[in-house]
Amino acid sequence: MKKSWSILTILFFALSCKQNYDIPLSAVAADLLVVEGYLTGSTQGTTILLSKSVAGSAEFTRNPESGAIVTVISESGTVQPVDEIADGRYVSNNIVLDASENYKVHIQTKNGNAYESAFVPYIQTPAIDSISWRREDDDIQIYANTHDPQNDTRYYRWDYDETFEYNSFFYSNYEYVNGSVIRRAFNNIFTCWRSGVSSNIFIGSSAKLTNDVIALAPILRIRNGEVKLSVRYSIAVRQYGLTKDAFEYWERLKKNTEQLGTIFDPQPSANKTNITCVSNPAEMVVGYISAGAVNSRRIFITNAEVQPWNYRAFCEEITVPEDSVEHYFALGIFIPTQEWSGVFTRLGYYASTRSCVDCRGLGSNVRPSFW
Amino acid sequence: MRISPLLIAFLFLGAYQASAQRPVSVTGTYHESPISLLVADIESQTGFRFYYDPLQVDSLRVTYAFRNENLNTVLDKVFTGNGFFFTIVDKRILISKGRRLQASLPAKFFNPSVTDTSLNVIVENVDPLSPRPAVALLENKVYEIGSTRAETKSGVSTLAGYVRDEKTGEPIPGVSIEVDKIEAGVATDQFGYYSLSIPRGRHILSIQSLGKKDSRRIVQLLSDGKLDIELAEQIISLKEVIISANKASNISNVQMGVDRLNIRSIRQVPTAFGEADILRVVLTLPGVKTVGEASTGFNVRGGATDQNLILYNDATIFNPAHFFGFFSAFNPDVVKDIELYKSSIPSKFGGRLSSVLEINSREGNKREFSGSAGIGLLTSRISFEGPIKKDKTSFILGGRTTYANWLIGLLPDEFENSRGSFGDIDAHISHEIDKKNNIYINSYFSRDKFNLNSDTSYGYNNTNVSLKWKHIFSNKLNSVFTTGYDRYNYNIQSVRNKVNAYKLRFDINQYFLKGDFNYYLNADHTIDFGFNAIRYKLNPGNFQPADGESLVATEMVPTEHAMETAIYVGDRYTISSRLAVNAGIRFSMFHYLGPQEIWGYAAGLPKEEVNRLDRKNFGGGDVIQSYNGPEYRLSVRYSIDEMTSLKAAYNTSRQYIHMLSNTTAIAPTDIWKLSDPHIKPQRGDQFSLGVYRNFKSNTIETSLEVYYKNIRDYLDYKSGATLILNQDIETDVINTRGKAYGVEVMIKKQTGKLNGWLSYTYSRTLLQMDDPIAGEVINRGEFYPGNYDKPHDVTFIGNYRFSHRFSLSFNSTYSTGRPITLPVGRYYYAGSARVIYSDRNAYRIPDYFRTDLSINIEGNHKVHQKTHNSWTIGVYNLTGRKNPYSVYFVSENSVVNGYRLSIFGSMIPFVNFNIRF
Repeated sequence: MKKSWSILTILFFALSCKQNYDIPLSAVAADLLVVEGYLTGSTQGTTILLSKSVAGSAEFTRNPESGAIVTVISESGTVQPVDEIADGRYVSNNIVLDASENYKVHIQTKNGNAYESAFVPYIQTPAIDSISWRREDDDIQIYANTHDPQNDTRYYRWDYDETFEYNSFFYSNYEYVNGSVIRRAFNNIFTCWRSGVSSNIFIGSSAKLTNDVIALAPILRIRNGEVKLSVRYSIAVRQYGLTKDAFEYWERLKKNTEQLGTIFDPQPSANKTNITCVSNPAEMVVGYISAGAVNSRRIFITNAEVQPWNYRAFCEEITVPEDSVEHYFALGIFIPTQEWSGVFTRLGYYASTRSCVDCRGLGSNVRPSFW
Repeated sequence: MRISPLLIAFLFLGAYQASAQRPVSVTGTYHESPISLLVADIESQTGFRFYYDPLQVDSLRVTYAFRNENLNTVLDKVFTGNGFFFTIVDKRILISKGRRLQASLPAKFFNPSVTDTSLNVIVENVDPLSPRPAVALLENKVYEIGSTRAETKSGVSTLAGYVRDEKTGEPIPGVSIEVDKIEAGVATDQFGYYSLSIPRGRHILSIQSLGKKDSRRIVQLLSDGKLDIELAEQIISLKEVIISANKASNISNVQMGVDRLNIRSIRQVPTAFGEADILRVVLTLPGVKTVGEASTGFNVRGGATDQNLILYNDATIFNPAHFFGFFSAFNPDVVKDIELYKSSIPSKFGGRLSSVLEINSREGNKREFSGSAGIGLLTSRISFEGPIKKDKTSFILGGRTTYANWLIGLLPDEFENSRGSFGDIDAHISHEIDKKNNIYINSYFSRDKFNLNSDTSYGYNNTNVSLKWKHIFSNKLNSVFTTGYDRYNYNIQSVRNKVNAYKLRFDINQYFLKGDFNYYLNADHTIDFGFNAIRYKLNPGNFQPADGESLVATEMVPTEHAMETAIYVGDRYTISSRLAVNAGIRFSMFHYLGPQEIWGYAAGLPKEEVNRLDRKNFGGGDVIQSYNGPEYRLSVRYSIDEMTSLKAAYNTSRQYIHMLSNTTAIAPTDIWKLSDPHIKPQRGDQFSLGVYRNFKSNTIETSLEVYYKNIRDYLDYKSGATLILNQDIETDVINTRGKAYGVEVMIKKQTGKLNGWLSYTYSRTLLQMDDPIAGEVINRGEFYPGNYDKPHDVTFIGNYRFSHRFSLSFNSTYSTGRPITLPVGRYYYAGSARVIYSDRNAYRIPDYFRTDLSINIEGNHKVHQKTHNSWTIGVYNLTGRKNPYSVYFVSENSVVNGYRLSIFGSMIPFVNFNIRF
C-alpha cells in the first residue's frame, strides 16, 4: 500500500511539482559520535563500537571512529582501559567488573573531545534457560526463555550469532588445474559454513508479570525454504539484562528505524541517550551504554528436524566436450562436476556454474570450532 | 412637518364615520371619580378600548350619572371644556390633552412609492386567532398585535414570527431585529424565526439583514401575538463582502469568536478552479489554518482537524472534502450560509473540542420554480428549486459532478489508466404543516472514487439523512426535534493481482436524536435547553479477499458501539444595555458498549503488547466503560459605547471520538476511534478576551481577540505506529497534553467600492508528552510544536467594484511553514543502518505565500429576464510561487534524498460560467 500511496501523491498533485529539498545545514547531524557497548566482565568480553554518523543524504558507509582512548570507570574510581583492535572496535577481555558497582565509559576522541556516559548499574543478567524453536505456519520461529529467581532483571535484550552448514548443488569430483581436468583428491568445496550476526533488535520485558519470567520471547524467524536450514543450523543467543531506561532506548530505536519517512509514514522522533559530550555539552551523541553480565546459549537444528523444508536451488548442468574444456573452465565460470561418458569413451565432463559447485562463494569451508 | 389640511379632514371624517356606525350606550354613576373607573365601565359595557397616558389624566375627576346614554354623548360631556380631547378610531378611544389626536398617517405619506391607495386602512388589526399571521409589508403602517379584548395592562408581551424573503418565501436566518433603537434586540434563528419580549405599547422594529434592504415595522403590541415580516432583496450592491449579519452585531453580540459568512461573500473569494469553495473561505478567517493546500481539514485555534464539528443541516460530516481536498464537499448553489464558532460554542453543541462549523442549506423557493447551473474546468453543478405546494412546501435539489479525467490524461503515460471522479447530491424538502409546525427533510450524499494506475482504487462516501420538526408551543417556547442517520465509509481495493486481491473497508455510522428548546422568558432572559443522543456503530476495518482466487486472509477489527448523550441548559441574560451574559452548562455522557473484547494491561506500565495481561469479553449491550462530565459555556459582553465593546468567554468541552491519522491532513484512509477503557476522552478549555471597535458609522470593524487553550488527553501516536487494521490501537497511541494560545486581529470594511478584510493571527500550538508510564516520552518531555503550529498568518481579502457589472477580487495570504521532523543523519547500530531524527517537529518547511486574483463579470441587471448569468475569470497563485506542501525523504541508491512537493506550483488560470434561471 505504501507504494500506491506515493503514486497517488504524485497523481493528485497533478499540478504539483517536486523539487529537491536539502536539509538545512543547521539540521544536519553528521559527525556525531555513535557509541555502542555493553560493559561486561563475562567471558564474552567488553566491546565498545565507536563510529560517526553521516549526513542523511550522504552515500552511506560505516564510518568508524579510530584512535580514541576508551576507559571504563567505576563509581569508586577504578579505571580500566578498553583498547582498539581495529576500525573503531574497542575490546577488552580481561576487564573486571563488580556487580555492586556502577560504571561509566569515558571516551577521548582523537580530536580531543571528551565524552562520558552516565553511571549505569551492573545488571546480574540470569542465564538463558533455553533457546527453543517451533514450527509456526511453515516457518521456524526461535525463542529465548529465561527467568531471574531474584525477580530483579525484568528487561532483556538479545542478539545472536548464527552459523549454518550448507552444500553446493552439485558434488564435484573433478577440477581444472593448469589446462587439464583432473580428479579431485578431496572435495573441500561441497560443504561450507556461513556465519552472520543479528541486525534486528530483540527485546522483552517481564515488568507486567509477578515473576521475572520470559517465556517464548521471539528471536529469529527462518522462512520455510531458506538455505539456513538446508543442512544444519546453529544459533548462539546472547542475553543482556537492561535497566528500564535502557530498555526504552532500545524499544524506541526499534520503532524509529524501521523505515525512512515518506509523507504518509508515521512520524519518528529523536531518541534519548545516556552519553554526553563533556567538552561541549551541546553536542549531540548517539547511543546508550549499559553494563551487566552477558549469558549465551547455542542450539543446533538439523534439516531432518524441520521436514518438510522446501529448500530449492536452481542449477543446471551442461556438458563440456573434451576438446572444449579450456574454453569453458579456464575462466573459472564453470567447474567440472562428473565425467560425461559415452558407451566406450569419455566424451567430456558435466559442469555447472561456480555458485552451484563451489560453496565458498557464500561462506567458508573451514569448519567452525563449535561444529 | 407639513400636513395637508385636506388629509386631516379626511382622517377625521374616517374617525367619526367609524364611531357613527355603532351607536352604543353607557350606564353609570360617578362622583369625583378618577377617570379610570369610567374607562373600566365603558370598556366593559361597550367593548371599546381606551388609550391614554395615565399621568395626563390623573387630575381629571368625573361627576356624572348616565343611563343608557350614547357613548359619544358621554364622551362629549366628560371631555369638553377641560382641555381634553377624544378621538374614536374603530373601537378605540384615544384621549389626548391640549389637541385632538390624529390616529395615524397613511402609508403613502412617508413613502410615496408604495402603491397602497387604501388610505383609510391605516391601522390594521392583526388578529391572533386568524389562521395565518398577518404579513407585515409596509414600513409605515402600524401593526396592531394581539387581542383588543384582552385586558390592557402595562407589562410585557411576546411578539414572534418568521422573517422571509419577499420573492421566494424562504426564511432568512440571522436577521437582526432591534426594538426602539437598540433597547432590545434579537436575531432570527436558522428557520428565520424570532421571538421578542417587549413592553406592551408602540414600538419601532428595525430590521437588518445581509443582502436585504434595511427595513422597519411599527407595531402596537397589545398582547402576545405573531408578526411575519418579509424583506426585499437588496439588488443594488451586489458586490459587498459582508461577513456578519448586521452592522454593529460584532459589537453587540455576546458571543465571541463567531464568524458568519453567507454564500454571496463566499463566492467572491477566488479559488483554485473558480468554483466557490466554502471551506477555502473558512480558511481565510483569523484563527483557522490548514496544513496545506490539498487538505480540506482545517485547524481552529490550535485544535486538530478532528476537533471540528462540521454540521450540514445538523448532520455530521466526517470528510468535508472531495478529491483529496481539492474541492470542499458542499455545493455552493445549495448552501445558504455558514457559521463558525471558534470560542463561544453554544451549549447545544458538543462532542468536539475546537469549533463548530454549521453549514445551512437554503430552503427551496416557495413561490416559483427556479434553478442555477455552473460550468467550470473540472466540475459542473446544477440545482433546481421550487414549490411543491405554494407557500407551504418547497424542495431544492442540487448535484455536482466532475470530469477531471482529462486532467489525468495530461499526466505522464504511467498514469494512463487512472481515473478519478466525484459527485454529490443534495435534496431538501421543507413543509409547513401549520403555523406552529414545520418539517424539514434533508439528505446529502457524496461519493469519491479514484482508480489509480497503481493496482489500487480508493473510494469514500458521505451519507446523511435527517428529519427535523420545528414546533412552536407558544410565542415564548419553541422547539426543534431532529433525528437522522450519518454515515461515512471508505474502501480500498486492489484486484490486479488475483492472488492478493483485497478489499479494505471502514465505516462509521451514527444515529442521532436531538431536541432543542428556546424559551423566551422575558426581555432579559432567553433560556435554551435540550438534549442530544448519538448512537455510534463503527467498523474500524474489514480486510477481505476481493476475488475468488485471492489468498488474502480475512481480517476484521471488531465493530465498536457507543452511546453519547448530553443535556444542556443555557441562559442569555441581558443585565443592562451595557452588560450581557450567555451562560450555559452541558452535561455529556459517553458509554462504550459491547460486544467487545478488551485487553487488560499491567497497571503502571505503558500499554504495550509486552505488558498485556488478560482479555475480557463483554456481551452485546454491556457498558464497558462510561465517561461523563460537565461542560461550561460562558461569555460576557460589556459595551463601552455603541461603537466599542469588551468581551470575555470561557468554554470547556469534551470529545469522545477521535480521528487517528499519521498524516497531518485529513486523508481518506484516516480512521476514527471511539473512546474506550484505554483511550480517554479529550478535554479542552479555552479562555478568550476581545476588544471590538467600529469606526465611521460601523463601516469599519476592528477586533482583537486573545485566547489561551488547554487540551488534555489529545491523542497522538507513538513512533512507528500503524493505524490501519490495528487490532489493539491503544498500544500505538498516547494521550498528550496540549496548549494553544494566540492573538487574532481583524480589520474589516464592509461597504463601499473597496471592501474586504485584513487579518493577522499569531498562534502557537504546543503538545507535551512527559509521562513515561503512558508510553514514550517525546522530545525529553518538553513541549513540542503540533503539526499545524504556524505562528504567523496574514490574510488579505479585497474586492473592488468598478461598476455594478464588473468587480475585481484579490486575496493574498502568508503563513509560517509548518513543522516537520527531519532525518538528520545516519549511523550503524546493533548490526544495521539506523537513522537519526531531529526532535519531533523541530524544523519547518519554507513559508507559504500565495496571491489570487479574479474578475467577476455580471450579465445585465434587468430584473425581468429569463436567465441571469455571470462569468468568473481568474488566476490562482498569481506569483507562481512553489509553496511546499510537504517535505519527504526517500532512500535512493543508499542515499537519502529530500524532496519538497508543491501542490499548485505554478499559476493556475480558471474560468467559470454561472447561470440562474
